[in-house]
Amino acid sequence: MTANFLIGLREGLEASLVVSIVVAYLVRSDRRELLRGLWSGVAAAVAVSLAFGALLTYGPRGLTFEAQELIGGSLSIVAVAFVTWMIFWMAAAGRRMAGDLRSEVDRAAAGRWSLVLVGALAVGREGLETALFLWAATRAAAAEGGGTWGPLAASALGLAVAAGLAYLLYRGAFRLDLGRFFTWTGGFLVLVAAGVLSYGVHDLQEAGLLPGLHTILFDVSHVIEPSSWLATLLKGVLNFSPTTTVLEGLAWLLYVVPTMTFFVLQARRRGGRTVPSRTHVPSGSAS
Amino acid sequence: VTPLHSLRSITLPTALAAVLLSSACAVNSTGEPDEAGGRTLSVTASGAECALSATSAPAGTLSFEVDNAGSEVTEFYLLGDDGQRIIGEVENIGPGLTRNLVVTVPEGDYYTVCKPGMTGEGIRAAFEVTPSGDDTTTTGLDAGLFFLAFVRDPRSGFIDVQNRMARHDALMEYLTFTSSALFAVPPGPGGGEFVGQALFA
Repeated sequence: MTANFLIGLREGLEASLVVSIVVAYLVRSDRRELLRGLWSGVAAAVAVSLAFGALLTYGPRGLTFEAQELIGGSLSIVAVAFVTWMIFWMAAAGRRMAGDLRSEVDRAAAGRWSLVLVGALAVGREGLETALFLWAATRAAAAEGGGTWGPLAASALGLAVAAGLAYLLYRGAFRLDLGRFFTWTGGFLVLVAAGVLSYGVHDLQEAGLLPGLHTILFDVSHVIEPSSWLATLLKGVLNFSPTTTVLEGLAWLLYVVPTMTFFVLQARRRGGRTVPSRTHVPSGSAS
Repeated sequence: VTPLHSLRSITLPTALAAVLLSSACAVNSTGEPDEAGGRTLSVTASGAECALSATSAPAGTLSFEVDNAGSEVTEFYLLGDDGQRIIGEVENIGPGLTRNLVVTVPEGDYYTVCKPGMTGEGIRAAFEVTPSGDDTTTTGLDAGLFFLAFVRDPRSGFIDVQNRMARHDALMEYLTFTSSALFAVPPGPGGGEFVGQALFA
């Protein structure tokens, strides 16, 4: 049942890592009032995905393959746009925080709705695929003449472990001083977003909307087997695919190089000023 | 926010979502192989086998019910006659699970592929789709859109927007107008009034 566990773990990590970083950021920058927006986005994405998945699994109509790939692919690319916005918003806000000059304008301009969208997209982009997988496991458990609970239990455990890892990341982020926190989480998010972008490109290639599905940049699937633990973690965290097409690789590079350069330059400029290290103790309510 | 603005901002995304959903759905199978005229096929995938209940089907919306009887995660693909172009796929079929691939396919030669462990070329077999006279250019769905707008003045709040959409909205190409209706909604009654009393004053 390891296979089902790993699927749950992978899908869970893809959904929860971005959320955990954003939560850590909001708590550390003393913007707890925005947590509610983020969580409502997450909750909406989970609810809509599960409901839509159930409708497609048990209802009279299923979703065509093209539509499913288009939904997953385009939502991923939109999610990249929002996460990128989030990274620079975080960096800018971190800079302002250095002098503790956070104004009410900043508070309002950030926009509750943007965070609702960040939460909804981070979880929702792969939500439908995960929901369809979970409902298939549920159907296996409820099958007539003795269903098997194994797959459902294993995938639920995978999701739970992913949530646990995301929580550990959230706690871990509190051990960094504030300046490092903004730099490292931002840099990490750039890599995550780049992975999501190349994943979205792959989905659109599979849907036939973008060409070059068989023009492979590299194939290391004999070294990193796609069904292994390592591949699951790489895929879940960075969306690394052992078989990467040229277009995916290109999208990844074209995103990472300018975004990371810009981000590092900003962080350097910020580095001149020393950031006072404030120690926040994460409270249970934020998790 | 005027009614006009709120209407304009919600109509297009709503219409897009509705079009996407209505054109993207396909009829789920009922599980009975014959009910869909041979268009429901079962696939039993294991580490070494990719067994289909039939190697051909009539053109139309096909439903492949892929059952993973192996111990590894598997993927199922329907590929074009070049053995590369993906017509349809379903991923993340964990051991013990059954997942469906619903795809609309015109007549022609295809390949079915199971990919246990998600590696390599997979277990391939030829698959034929025979002529059936079914329209495979669309999903053949009987569906429509329904707009509802609450506006202060239809002359400025609704007709204007509709005219704009008719002229500029790229989706109009896919729409066939059927009918519309206009309803007057009187203001709510105050204390001791009856509904619409203000209109008679």
